[in-house]
Amino acid sequence: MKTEELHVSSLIVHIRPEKRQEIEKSINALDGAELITVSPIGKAVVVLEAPHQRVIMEVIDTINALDGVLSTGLVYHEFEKLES
Amino acid sequence: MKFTRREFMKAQAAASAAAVAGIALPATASNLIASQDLTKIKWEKAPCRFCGTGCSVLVGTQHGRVVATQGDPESPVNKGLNCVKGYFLSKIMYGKDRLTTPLLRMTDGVYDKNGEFEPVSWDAAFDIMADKFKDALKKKGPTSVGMFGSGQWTLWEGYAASKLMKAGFRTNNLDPNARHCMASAVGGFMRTFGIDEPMGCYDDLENADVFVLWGSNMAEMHPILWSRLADRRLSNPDVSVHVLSTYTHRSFELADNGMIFTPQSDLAILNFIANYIIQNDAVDKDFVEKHTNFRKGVTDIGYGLRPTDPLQKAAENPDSGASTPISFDEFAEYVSEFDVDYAVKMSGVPAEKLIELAKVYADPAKRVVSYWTMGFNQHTRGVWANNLMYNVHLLTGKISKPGSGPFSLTGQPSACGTAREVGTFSHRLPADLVVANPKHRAIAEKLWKLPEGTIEPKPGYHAVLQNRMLKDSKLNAYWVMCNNNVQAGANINEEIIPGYRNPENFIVVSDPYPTVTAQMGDLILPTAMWVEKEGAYGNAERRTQFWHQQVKAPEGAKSDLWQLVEFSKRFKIEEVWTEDLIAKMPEVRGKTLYDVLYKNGQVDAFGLEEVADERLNDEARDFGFYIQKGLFEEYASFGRGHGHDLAPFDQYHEARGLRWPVVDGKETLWRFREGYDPYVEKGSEVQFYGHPDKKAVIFALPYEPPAESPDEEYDLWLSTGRVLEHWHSGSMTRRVPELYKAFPDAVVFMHPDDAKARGVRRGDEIVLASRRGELTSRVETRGRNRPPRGLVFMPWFDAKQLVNKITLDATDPLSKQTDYKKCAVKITKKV
Amino acid sequence: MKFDNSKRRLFKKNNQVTVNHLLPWIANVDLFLKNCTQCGDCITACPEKIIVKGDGGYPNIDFTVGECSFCGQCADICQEQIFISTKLSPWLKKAQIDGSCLAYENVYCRSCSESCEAQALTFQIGLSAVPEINLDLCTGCGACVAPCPTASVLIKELE
Repeated sequence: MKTEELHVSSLIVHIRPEKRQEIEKSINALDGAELITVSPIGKAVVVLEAPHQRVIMEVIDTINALDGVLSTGLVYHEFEKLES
Repeated sequence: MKFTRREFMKAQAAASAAAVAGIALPATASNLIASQDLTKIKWEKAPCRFCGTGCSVLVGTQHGRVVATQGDPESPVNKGLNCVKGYFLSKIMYGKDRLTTPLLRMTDGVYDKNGEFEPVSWDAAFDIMADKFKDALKKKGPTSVGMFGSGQWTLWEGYAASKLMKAGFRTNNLDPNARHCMASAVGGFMRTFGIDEPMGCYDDLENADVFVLWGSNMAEMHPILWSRLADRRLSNPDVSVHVLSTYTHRSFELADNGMIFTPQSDLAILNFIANYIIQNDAVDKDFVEKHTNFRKGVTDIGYGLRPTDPLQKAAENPDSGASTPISFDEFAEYVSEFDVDYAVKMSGVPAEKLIELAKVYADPAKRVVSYWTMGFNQHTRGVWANNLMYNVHLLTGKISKPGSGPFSLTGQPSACGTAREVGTFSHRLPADLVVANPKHRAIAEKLWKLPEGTIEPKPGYHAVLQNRMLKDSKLNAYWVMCNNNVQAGANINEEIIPGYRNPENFIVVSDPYPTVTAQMGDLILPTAMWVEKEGAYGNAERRTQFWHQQVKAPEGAKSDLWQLVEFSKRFKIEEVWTEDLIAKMPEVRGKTLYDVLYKNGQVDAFGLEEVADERLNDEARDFGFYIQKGLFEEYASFGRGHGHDLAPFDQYHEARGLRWPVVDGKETLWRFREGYDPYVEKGSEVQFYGHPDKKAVIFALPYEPPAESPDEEYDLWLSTGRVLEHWHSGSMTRRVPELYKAFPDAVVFMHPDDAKARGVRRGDEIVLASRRGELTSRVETRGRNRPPRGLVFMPWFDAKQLVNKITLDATDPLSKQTDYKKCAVKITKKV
Repeated sequence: MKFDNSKRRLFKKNNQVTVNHLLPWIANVDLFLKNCTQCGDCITACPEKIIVKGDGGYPNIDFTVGECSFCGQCADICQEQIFISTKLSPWLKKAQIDGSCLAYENVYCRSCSESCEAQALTFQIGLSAVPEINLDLCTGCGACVAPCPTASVLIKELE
C-alpha cells in the first residue's frame, strides 16, 4: 500500500493594499495556492495545499518574493496520509 | 470523497488564519466550516508527555490519529505557550519502529536467553513470564523478583504496580527511575519537613523579587517556567536573577549574577550563606524560635558503593542519616568557620559575587525563590544539599509564602504524582507512608483489604542495588516498564549489562519502542502510550492533571496498566503467599492475584456505565469496570484527611489540574501557611505539620568531597545532562524527525583551550574515557554550553553514545540517587 | 529502472540554478553557467561537504548539510574562469527567518540559537524567545539552517 501525504497550510500575508489585484492574480496562479480574502488594511488569508511540506515552503518563498508582499506568516499546518 | 476532505482541511486552515488576523471570512468559506463537523479535528486537553513542568496541551485528533498539538490557552501552567518538544508531541507515537507484538528471544521456537527476538502472542509472552516469576518465587522467595518502574507512569499504573509487587508478590523490590532524578529531593523534604514535595507553586514566578538557580538550567530544561521567569525579570527592572552552575549555559543569559563553581562546592557556598545571615543579624528570630529545631547530622557517610569498595570501607558512618539535637548557638558556632574566604577557596567564585548572593537572602525586604533540579539531586551529598538549601530559607523565614521559598523542580511528568505520591519507591507506600513502619503497613493492609503481615517490613532493592543484585544473581525475574535504564543507569558496562545478560535472570521490558534496554532484555512487551490510554500525572507544584484516551493504540500494543493487571490473573494466591498468611484470610484461597488486588470491591466499584459510550477506554472495557477510577479512588483514600487530599476523580477530568491538598474543592497554593493551607491551625501562622511537633529542622552538615575527582591521568570533570530538544533518553524525541534534526547527535562540550591542549578542534572525533569505559564522540567548543577549563559536559540522550558507560555508580548514601554530575575522565583525539 | 538524473533535468523549464545556492566568490551567474564544466572538483574539495550536484548538474550549496567556512578551497581548485579572488567578499548572502518560525506561534524552540559563530543571531528573551538577525554581522554562512526543525531559516542574496 502506497501512502501519499496531503499538506494544507494557511498564511497571513501582509500586502500593500494598492497592489492587491496583481498579488491576488499571482498567488492564485501558483499551484495549490488560493487567496481567500483580503482585509482593507492589507491582511490576506491564503490557503496552500501540496503533497509535501517542502513544496509548501517553496510556495511561501515565492509569495514572499512577490512585489508588494511585506511579510508572510504561517498560521496553520495540517497534514495527513492519503492511502491509495 | 477525497475532494471534500481536502476542501474541509482548507476551510479549517483558512478559518485559523482569519481568526489570528482578526478578519472576517467570506460567507462561502465559513459555511463550509459549519457543515463539516464529521471531519473536524477534535481538540482535547492532556498534560505534555515530557518534563515535570506539567504544561497542558490541546491534542488534535482526527480519524484515530493525533494530528496536531498546541499550547493550552486555558492552562494556568503554560498559558498557551509550548516548547519545541511539546509542539511536536503529535509525532511521538508514530515512529517507524513502533512495537506492536511481544518479542521473545528464541531458538528453534523455544525461549533461549541467547536466541534472537521473534514475535509471540500476548498469551505466550505471559506464559513464559509467569513461569519465570513463579520459578524465582519458588526457588528463592519474594526478594528474587522485582520491577523497575517510572515517573512517566500514570498514577494508576504506578499504584497498580505497587499493589502487584508489594502486596501480590510481597516484594519491596520496586523502584522507579525517579530514583535517578528526585530521590535526593524526597530525602531532603522528609528529613527537614517530614512530608514530601514543595510548599510553594509556580505562582511564585510572578511574585518573587529574586530568583536563584542552583544546579538548574531552566532555560533548556524547563523552558516554559523560564519564559515566565524571564517575563517577570524583564518587566520588573528591580527583579534579579542569580545562576550557579559548574559550567556556563543558556540560563546565564539572563543572570545578573552568574557564578561558575567547582563541582561539589555548592555545599560550602550554602553553609557560607547561612553563616552570612547569622553574622549580619538577618535571622528571622521569631520564625526560627517558633517553627524550627536544630540538629547536627553525622558525617563521613560514604558513597553508596558496593560494601567491598575501598572508598566505602573507609567511611566511618556509611549510609547513616542519624542526627542529634543542638541549639541555635551551637549551629551558629558550627557554620562560623564557613566564611567568605573558605567559600571562595572551595568554589573558585569571586568573593563579591558570593556576597551579592548572600545579601539577597539576608535582605528581609526581598522575596527569594531558589530553584534546583539535577545539580543538587544527582549529588553524592544530594540530601545534604537539599537540607542546606532549606536552612537558608528557614533562617530567614522566606518560605511558604507568595514569591518566597525553596522549590525543587522535577524532570519527569509524574515524578511527583506517580513515583512520590503513589509511593513506588522500594521503601515507600502511598501518601508518604513507609514499609519500615508497622503502623504504616497496617494502614495499607487495611485499605487494601489484605491480611496483617502481607507487606514486608524491609525496604527492597533500590535502582542501583537492583542492578548489582541482578549481576550477583540475587534478583532473577525482573520487569522493566516505562523507562530506559540500560541507557539511564550508571556504570553500564560494569554494573548493568552483566545483570541483564546473566543467564540466571529473565528480563522483561515493556516499551513502545525497541530501546537500548528493550534490546538488552529477554522478552519485550509492546506498550500503548500517552493519549492512547486514560491517564493522570502529578507535576512539580503538586498539580494533578488527567486526560482521556483520545486514540486507539496500534493493534497489539497494550498499556502498562493493562499489562500489570492482566498479568496478575496468572497467579493463584497459593503460588505467591505463604500458608501462614493465607490462614489469616482463608477466603482468598483459590483466588487469583487479580481477584484479591483489583476485583476487591473497591477497584471494581465503578461500572462501565460511568464511561460514556462515545469515549475510548480500552482498559475499562477489557476488564469490565472503570478501573482507572477505582484505582484512583482507592489510592486517594490513603491521603484524604492526612495532608495529601485529592479531589474526587471526575473533577480532574474537568479542571486544568488541581494542586493538593484539595480540601472542600479548594486547592492549596502555599502549604504550611495559615490562610493558604487548611491543615494549619488558626492563629499559628506557620506549621510544618510533617513532623509531630510541627517544626522544620535546620541541619548542621559540612562539606565532604565527591567520590571521584580528576587526577593526573583522568584529568577532567565530566558532568552529564540534557538538551531542550530531547527528553527521557531520546527514546521518543529522537524518533521525531524535526527534533532529531535540531540536535541530531550528542557532542562533548569543552573549553577551547582544553581542546587545543589535546590537539583537537571543534567537530573532531575524540575518545572520552573513564576508569569504567570509553566512547567515541565529537568535540563542541561553542554552542549552548561553555564549560570552564577542566570540565566537560555531555548530554545522555544519544543511544549511539552511551555516556553512562563512563559515569560512576556512586550514590548519595541517604537517597541512593546516583551522582551523574561528577566523575573523572580523559579525552584523546581519535586516531 | 535507472535513469540519468542530470539528463532528465534538461527537460525542466525555468532557470535551473537558483542564485541563493551559488558557491562563494562567484560574482557573475552567467559566467558560472557558461564556464562550469560540472567536473565536480569543488564538490570533492569542500571540507564541509556542503557542495552538492544541484539543478542541471551544476554544483550548489546545501545548507541543510552544514555551513560554509569560507576556506576558499572550491575557488582554488577550479580550473575555469568562474571565481573571483578569495580575498574579496565571498557573497552578499544573509540569513532570513520566515513566518513559519515556531517562535511566532508562542513555541519556545531556540534550536538555531548558538549555531551562529558571528553572533549575528540572537534571541529576544521574553515570554517566547524570538530570533533576530543582525545583518551587519551575518556572513550568510548557513550554520543556522540545519538545526531548524521547521526549515524557517533561508539564506538569500541581499538585494
